[in-house]
Amino acid sequence: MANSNILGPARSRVDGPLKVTGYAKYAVEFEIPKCAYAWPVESNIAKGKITAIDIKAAQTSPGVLAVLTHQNASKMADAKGLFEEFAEAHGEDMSQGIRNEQRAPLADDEIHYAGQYVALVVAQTIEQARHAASLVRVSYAPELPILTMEDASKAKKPKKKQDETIQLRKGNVEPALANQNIIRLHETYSTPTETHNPIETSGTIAAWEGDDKLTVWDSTQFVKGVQSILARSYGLKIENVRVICPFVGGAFGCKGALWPHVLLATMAARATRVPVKFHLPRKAMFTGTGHRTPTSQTISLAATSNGKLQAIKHVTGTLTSPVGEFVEVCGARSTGVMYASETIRVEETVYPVNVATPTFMRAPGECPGVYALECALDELSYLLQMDPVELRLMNHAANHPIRDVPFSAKHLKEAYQLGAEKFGWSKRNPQTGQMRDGNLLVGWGMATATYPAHKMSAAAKAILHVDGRATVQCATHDLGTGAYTAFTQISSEQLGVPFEQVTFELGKSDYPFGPVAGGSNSTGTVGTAIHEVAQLLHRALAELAVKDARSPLHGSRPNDIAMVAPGRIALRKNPVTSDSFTDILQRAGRDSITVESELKDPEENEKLAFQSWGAHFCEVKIDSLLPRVQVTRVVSVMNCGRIVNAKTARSQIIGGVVMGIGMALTEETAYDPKTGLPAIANLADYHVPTNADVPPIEVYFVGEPDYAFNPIGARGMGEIGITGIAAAVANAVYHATGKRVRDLPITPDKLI
Amino acid sequence: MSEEPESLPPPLPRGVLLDGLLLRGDPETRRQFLKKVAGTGVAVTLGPHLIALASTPTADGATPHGATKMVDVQLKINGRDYRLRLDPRTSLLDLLREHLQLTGSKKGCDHGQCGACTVLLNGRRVNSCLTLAVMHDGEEITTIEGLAQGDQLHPMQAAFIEHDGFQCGYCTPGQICSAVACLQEGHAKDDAQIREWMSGNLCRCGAYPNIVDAIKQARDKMGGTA
Amino acid sequence: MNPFDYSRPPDWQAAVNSVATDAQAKFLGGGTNLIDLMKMGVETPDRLVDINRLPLAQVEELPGNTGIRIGALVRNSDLAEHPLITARYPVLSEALLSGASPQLRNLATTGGNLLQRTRCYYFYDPAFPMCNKRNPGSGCGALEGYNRIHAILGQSEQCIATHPSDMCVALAMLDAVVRVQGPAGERAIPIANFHRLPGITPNVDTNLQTNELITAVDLPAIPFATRSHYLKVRDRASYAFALVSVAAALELENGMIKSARIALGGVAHKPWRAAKAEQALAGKKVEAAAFSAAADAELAAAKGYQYNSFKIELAKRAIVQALTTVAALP
Repeated sequence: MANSNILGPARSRVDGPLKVTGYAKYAVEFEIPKCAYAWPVESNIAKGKITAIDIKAAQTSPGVLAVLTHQNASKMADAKGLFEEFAEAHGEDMSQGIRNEQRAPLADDEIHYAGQYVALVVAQTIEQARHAASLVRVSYAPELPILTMEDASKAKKPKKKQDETIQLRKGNVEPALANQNIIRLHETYSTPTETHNPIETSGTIAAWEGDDKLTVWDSTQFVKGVQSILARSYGLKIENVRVICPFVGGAFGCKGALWPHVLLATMAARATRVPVKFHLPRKAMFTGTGHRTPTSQTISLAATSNGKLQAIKHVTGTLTSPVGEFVEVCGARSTGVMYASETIRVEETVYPVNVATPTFMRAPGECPGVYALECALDELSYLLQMDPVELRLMNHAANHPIRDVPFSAKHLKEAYQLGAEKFGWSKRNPQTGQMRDGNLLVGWGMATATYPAHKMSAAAKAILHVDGRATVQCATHDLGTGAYTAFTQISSEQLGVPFEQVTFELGKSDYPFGPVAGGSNSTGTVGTAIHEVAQLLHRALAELAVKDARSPLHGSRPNDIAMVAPGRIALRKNPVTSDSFTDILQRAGRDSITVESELKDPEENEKLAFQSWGAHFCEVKIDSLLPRVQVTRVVSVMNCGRIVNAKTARSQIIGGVVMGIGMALTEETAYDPKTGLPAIANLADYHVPTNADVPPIEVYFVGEPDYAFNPIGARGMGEIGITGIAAAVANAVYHATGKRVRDLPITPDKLI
Repeated sequence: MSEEPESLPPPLPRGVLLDGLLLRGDPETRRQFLKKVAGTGVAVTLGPHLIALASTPTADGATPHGATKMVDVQLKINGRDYRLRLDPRTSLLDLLREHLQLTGSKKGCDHGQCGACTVLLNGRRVNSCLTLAVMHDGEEITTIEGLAQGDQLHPMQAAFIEHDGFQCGYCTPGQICSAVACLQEGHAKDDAQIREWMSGNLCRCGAYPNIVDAIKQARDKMGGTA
Repeated sequence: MNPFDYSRPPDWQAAVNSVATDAQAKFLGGGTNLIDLMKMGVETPDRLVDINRLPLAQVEELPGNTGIRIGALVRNSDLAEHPLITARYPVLSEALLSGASPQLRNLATTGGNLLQRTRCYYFYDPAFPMCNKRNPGSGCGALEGYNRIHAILGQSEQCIATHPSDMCVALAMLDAVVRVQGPAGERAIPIANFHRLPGITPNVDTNLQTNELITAVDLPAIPFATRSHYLKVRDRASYAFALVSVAAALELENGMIKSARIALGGVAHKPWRAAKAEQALAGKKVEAAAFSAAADAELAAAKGYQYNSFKIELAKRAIVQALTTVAALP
């Protein structure tokens, strides 16, 4: 049941007033005097070499300050070290920044994919830069590009990704899959290239002070990562590189790694000796900041006639670029955790092709992986003539199917139950094509959602002022996730300072370490750092108090003291003996006290498995003659531990569902089959859902705080909402029409 | 160089951050917060401004080869008069963002495909990215920065906060300007109509259901229209 | 966007003169398509003649109940909600409101919408080397490319682009007349002759001369246009170009079809007047079989490509659906 003890208060966003008045400053909106503007020139071939670049006309165009190409960039920007650093570094520690593209921009004359930057024009105004970029003439010696999985000559089967085994085997799936006496299914599901398309395109302002100090305002999910990579690239002291990003206009993964434009902006600023702003044109977001690779996933299932799974085999193929290192892990994190099957086999293969480098996009791997698995489960339910919810309950996994340890605070059964009840699932006619609303076909579908609980490392600084206010800082990020608000709440609760008196600051590399805002880790990770810094603060207050003859705690041992109520520390065993934060500071003659937690590896609990769960139920309506699918109702029930803020958490899940509706029905970055250029490279043709595509969405939370996972009890929820929803929609479409579409998106042409 | 300018955004935000909607209780912290987070705003003084923008003509007044002839234009933006000399290629959006530091209007696609740049031009909602500033000599523009009345948030702004009608906040100024116009046009009678008439504003965070709720609240509070 | 001179002439004569004397000059209306294409580098005028303040923004009745005149600068949003249009030509109102977004409709003009250029990917982005429309003689990138949104009727080997307008489909069905002013004076171009098929000159979208200014669009009086409908099939619920669209009107008499008017969007280089379907319907009973037969007749000559063959069946179904809807109107 909806459990009120997991739900925090529904507070409005602390950054709301700034956002609704237009005064929230995003990275490229900072006013930097004398700032120049950059505009890119991109390759329009996918493979080959640059034979000549004519930049004369561009250079002499009014307002132009510089034109960077592979021929002059290293020299002009004095950036030789940058290219060496990039040539060498592979598979580095994630805490030191993330690079999915292992090549410095303008490094040489090689073209690896269409859309690759081949020049950058810097001018006094945007208009001048954009025009001058059109005057750059590039000649190429093109070679035949490899653009698809079918044409790829090489294949990689990485054993691990970030220490996680991704090729899985539990028992032997083959005997069951070969057994003609049980129910079997063998189907291939495909998803297209999807592009994040946050409404704020990526952008960077770079400003040098001399040759050894660099400040960048960058739209990023990882200020510390950008700082680290830039410091190493230019051989700068880490403290001489500052990265500032108080607001991010959406990201969804495409601002997690450092992409070439950040380096180009810093190179251009170094070359021109003026600050340079490079705000990416929308088109560059389709090639310059990653995308979700297309996937081809073959699922084989075998089950007894009562629905007990005997074998699941999930074989995935994905793409990467010739200069990319990213692997989309589809099966290991969906099929590898979802059901209590006797045998499980997961294979992941990645093919390098001449297409821009992919990256993580909201629930990378899990999102397409759960789509394929949950469609296959739905297909199996029809073969078995069994209710789809019943089938899932039949195969529910209390323990991790591979590791065989219990899942912590798992309440998936309740999610199914509550979702079915709220949706009215019992009224579903199990036959396809039977439910109607006037002329419209009606379909009801459901699917499971899942996403792992990730843990990273963070530190925080807390400053308690004598007037009772507190400031807490961490170099973390608010991508629209509600981090400002959630961390203000957590700080208030952990420090014992009223919400209204807490200021939480983020988005600046000056603050203690925060990890990349990805993998739904931030609330738990930064929340844990806040928990730790709060302990330090209370300890520091206790140390002041025990030395102060006027304190009721005078002479006690600091170890015996803890916070007992907001604003007060006391003896653990005798809470009546207490002192207030402000009195302690006042008597000590202190304006404030500052403490900072240490960065340390997170504690891992190997006895449990940590994973979030959920269930989506949805209704679609389809005109049988002109079959565009309209989603008309969604109920989503989530089990992700404690929910810090009921209002922003609901919004996060809604957001995932909306993006999942886009994935199911409209989103696809199609490429020209000859040149490899994206044919779809703008927001008119890349169809993200509009307001009219989105129905009312009901969101519920079940379960309990997962304190076994972290002291905040939160497993994170930025991504789970998108997992499963595309399957729920596809399953509803099948229920409505009797037609199974196994390649997304389900556009009208596929239902004719 | 600093991201912490001396001057605060004019003159709106301090007053706008109403007590009930406040990030922080006390005005001093609020001011500090704005300094730290909101960053710069151009310190515009009252009265008309003459701002020469972009490439400068040569001494004899001729335009350098290949450059554009500058065009003089007067605009009333958020009730304030501006006299400007512009490169005619300057879109209304780039004028606001890059030259007047009115960065509330957002650039999402620069091609009329997302609605983040929506402003009110003579009271009507338009995509400021697809119109040239010089086309609007003598006309009135209201941006998100001009919606609040002194200390008082526009009811649409307040409703967006209450219903969490945004996440990252980047499409939000466009959504709110569009929503204000949607009400004025009389296109917010029911959910279906709101959804259709707000479809020119993409929200990648997916706040649509909350946006619809916010618009309904503002509609009911404002007696049907703005 | 290349540098250009900007001017705002006081009257249409001056505007026409400015453009007549400069082959690279263009009229600037709402700008929603032209400025977009200039940013892309597809259009490169050296002079923009801003006509927005010319007095061409009226919708008025023509004398003697002969129809309605729509000024070239009437904004799409104003036209869509004009009482004369909603009362007499609901199909036009529906078509306008199905296009673009409220913000764009507030800028876009009637004249500009007539001149909207194709959304073919290979035309719109100069990164693509092949496009006969943008760069005559370079070839058609769409022919063997990603051609999902492309033409199935009236195309040539030189160009398979489609006309993207919704408004123009309704105008084609209503037999609108485009009034233009040029150095040689005024002339009237029937809508059927306004847009062109690609043939061997796909770079020429319309029969409007470059020095001519559209001043108005006349709609003839068509009493049965009150029984009309615009149906648009697209990939998402709103704010998307048509895969296929249909503007239809039926003149009914005693359960029989006296005459039918049908135009299609999204299928050809110009708004496609479905003459064969109209012919097939004349004199037939109002019934599904007649609608299907008419749709089959119109699409018999259609030709699809790798990614767009679905449009043939989709267009047939859309015709049937539009006619069914119109027939059921009160």
